[in-house]
Amino acid sequence: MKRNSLICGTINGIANEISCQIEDKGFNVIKISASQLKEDIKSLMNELDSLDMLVYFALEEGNSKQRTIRDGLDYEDLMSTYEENTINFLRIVEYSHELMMKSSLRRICIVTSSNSSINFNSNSCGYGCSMSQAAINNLVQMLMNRYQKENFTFRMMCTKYYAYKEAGIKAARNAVTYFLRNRAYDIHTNERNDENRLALRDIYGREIPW
Amino acid sequence: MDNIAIVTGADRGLGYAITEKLLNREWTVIAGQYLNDWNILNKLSKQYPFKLHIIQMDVSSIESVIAAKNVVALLVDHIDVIISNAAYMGGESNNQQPMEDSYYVNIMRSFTTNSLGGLRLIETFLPMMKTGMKRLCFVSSEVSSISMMKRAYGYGYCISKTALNMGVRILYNDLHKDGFTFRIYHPGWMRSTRKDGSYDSIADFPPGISAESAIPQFIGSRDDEDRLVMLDYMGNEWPY
Repeated sequence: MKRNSLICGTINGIANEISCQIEDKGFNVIKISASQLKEDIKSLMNELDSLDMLVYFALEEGNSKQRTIRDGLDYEDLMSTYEENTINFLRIVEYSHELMMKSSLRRICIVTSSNSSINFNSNSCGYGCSMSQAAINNLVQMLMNRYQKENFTFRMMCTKYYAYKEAGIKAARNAVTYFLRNRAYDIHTNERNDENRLALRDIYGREIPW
Repeated sequence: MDNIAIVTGADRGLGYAITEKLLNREWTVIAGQYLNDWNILNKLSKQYPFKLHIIQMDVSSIESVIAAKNVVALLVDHIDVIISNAAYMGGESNNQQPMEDSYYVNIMRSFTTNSLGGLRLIETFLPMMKTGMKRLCFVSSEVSSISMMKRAYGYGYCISKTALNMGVRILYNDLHKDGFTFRIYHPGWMRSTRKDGSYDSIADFPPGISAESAIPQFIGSRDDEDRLVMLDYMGNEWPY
């Protein structure tokens, strides 16, 4: 029987490419965009037997991403971006929990950007996206604290905009490899396992600080 | 020239204690008041009639912050220090069983008050900070630290403080080059204030203890201003 993977959030180019590659790995892929989330998720949960992997793309940038504090911020837009990136992610985790409990994989993957790193962010604008992604980082840590005892596992991945299709395909391939492997990270001994520690990684596996 | 600070959430708790201690140091304080039915701030104004100005302000509303600024501009010619302290503790979103719509409403309320409140404040009062100390202070929390997060519930408040830290990072990237300096402060676990100004016995210490530690951080200088750090009431640095 095929395993089910739910793809949701901001379904852009990289999200579509990652979806294709997850499908290539033998998963039945179901996509829900952020705008349809509230309507679709409850009915969808009734249709599936189990849910093995949830992949959430928290990549909504909002309509005012170029504004600095001197320009004046669009607070309604910042609220909307937070709702789409952060709150909808929490909603879908809560809604899908029961279905994921019927799977043995129970993997939750979140795609954000390196701008979610408070240590690394060097922008003077982009408040909505960066603040909501930083909030997601803490939210995932809390969800891990809560659900790890139920054998849920978590993967956090940074992507960016890829101008060349080949670069996007390679990034998606690396992302899916990371999503699906067990986190036995030391290639020499295959013994080290940092599954108990939440890490934010880029597509090359490099860890990004919070 | 007078030293002038603006403090939000000054009705009680840490905001009130910071206001009181700044007044003791002969600062002029613009105290943002949100709760109309708390009068300990009014009592303090009788003690400092020319140094304390109480202004109605709800940081979750840009219209309210702009209205406050219009009043403040008639009272003082500049602001040295902004202390963004007003916070919403999360209400129902601290419960252990999310799913109800009201749970998510409370999470959004945490975000608009705790994360965006400071931004509304800075955006609005920035034109009054062309001179003076140019110090921007934000009361955050240990629960904003992803590295140190041990909790499994109470999402709304915790993640709103992480979002605040990111907002401050972006402000820092933008404004530090123009001479602005920043403080992110974790105040510790403080006892709640009762309406008569006394404190309950739960938590580690009364807000005055934390305010005593905060003041030197907020108005003093540091030798590593080119780094944005979160410090607690003991001066210890917290990872993000």
